[in-house]
Amino acid sequence: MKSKTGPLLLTATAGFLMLAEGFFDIPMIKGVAGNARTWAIIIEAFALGVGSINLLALHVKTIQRKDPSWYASFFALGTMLIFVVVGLGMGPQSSAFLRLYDIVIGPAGCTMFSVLCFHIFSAGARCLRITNTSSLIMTVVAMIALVSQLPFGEQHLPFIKSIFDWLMDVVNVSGQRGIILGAAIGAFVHSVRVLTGLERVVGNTGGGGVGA
Amino acid sequence: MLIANKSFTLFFGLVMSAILFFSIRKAERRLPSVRPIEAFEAIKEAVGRATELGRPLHFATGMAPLTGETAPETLAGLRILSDTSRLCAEYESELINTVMIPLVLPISQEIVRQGYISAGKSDLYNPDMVRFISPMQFSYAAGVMELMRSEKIAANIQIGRFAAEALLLAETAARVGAIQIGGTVNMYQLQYFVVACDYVLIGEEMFAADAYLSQEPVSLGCLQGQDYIKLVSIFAILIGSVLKTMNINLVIEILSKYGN
Repeated sequence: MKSKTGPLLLTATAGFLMLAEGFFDIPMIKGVAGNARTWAIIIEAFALGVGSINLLALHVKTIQRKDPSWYASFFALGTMLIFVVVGLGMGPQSSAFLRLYDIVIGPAGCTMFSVLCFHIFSAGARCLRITNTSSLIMTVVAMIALVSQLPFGEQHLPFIKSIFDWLMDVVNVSGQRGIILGAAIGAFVHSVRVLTGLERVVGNTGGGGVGA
Repeated sequence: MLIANKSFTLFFGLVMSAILFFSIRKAERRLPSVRPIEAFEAIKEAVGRATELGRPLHFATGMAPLTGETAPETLAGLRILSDTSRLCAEYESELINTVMIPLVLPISQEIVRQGYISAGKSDLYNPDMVRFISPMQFSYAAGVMELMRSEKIAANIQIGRFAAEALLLAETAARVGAIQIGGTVNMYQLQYFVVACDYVLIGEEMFAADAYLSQEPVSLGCLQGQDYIKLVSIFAILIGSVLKTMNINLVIEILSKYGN
């Protein structure tokens, strides 16, 4: 138990300091909170280094084992090396690094986004499978939404558009607000628990748990 | 020097905290019951399936950092990862946890390691179980999609903050025939999880993880307190609606002046 007291005290101090900065206009608190934020950025930068080592180790092992996707690991490591060399050699704001970034990350991001369109389509098709009452309701609503957006529905079935608007403005909005309200309160309670040391991220030491 | 336009927010925060601690005291005397949440029960099914098929279980905690307003979502995901890793260790099933946020990597590694230790299977723990893929959304998605296909995962659990990559991962997992459990607060991605996943944790259900999994008085008390706070909020919304209907703008004025 004693080993937990230090980290909990540190968490609570940092958390309440940030809270105080939000509610009180005291220059000293603002200064300390600003320093704490800088520390957070430094820690995150170190964590990125740890992440890079993890990534490097995994891909090197994949290549050594000659796994089926070893060529992808080889390509990933090669790209990583080029970025590191150009970034460290010429600086992350240099035109060469920015150009490299644009010609690799830009098209790759666009490709992934276009893949997302196909996935939305296949998810939409999955949505039309009726297996229980909930999926039946979902399918009916999806059909209403679909027909109301089509020129045919708009022209020949104007009442469908009214139903769709009601579903979007009343049912959808109230459902969304309900979820947002619950989630916001849930996040608040979770935060209070973290600040006061009541939250256990690691839950293996006792209790029931999954499968108990 | 209290900032005037935030005084009501502070007051309401203190009221909510008081309700929370009152609920904890109440739960210590008598444990409240929690309704069954299918997604939590399904974790055992997912691990069992992965064990039967001899294929790995993939777990993702999303893209939210550990600082900022979305941090509780990642913490909720990590809490579930803790129990899932213990269960994977007990069943001797392979676990792959992919990480997008660098700061989450060492924490996830420690959580998974603790899971294996608590199951008495520390020899089965391998640091490669927790993999940092990329801090960039689509690079992460591409990496995990390839991993899902090459490893032929049997189960996929995605609980935390997810954005556009949510559907990319969920659909890929569906194509390899994985049983799926999803959970997020993000309203723009929730519908994709509902469509693609077998079990979904909707919004606040994610934050019930510790109470549901541990069944401890403090956690259950917090969960009950959450419901009390929700009741107070609903009551406040109703009062505000009635007053506004009667053309009395008292609540709106208080909130706009002191509720920033």
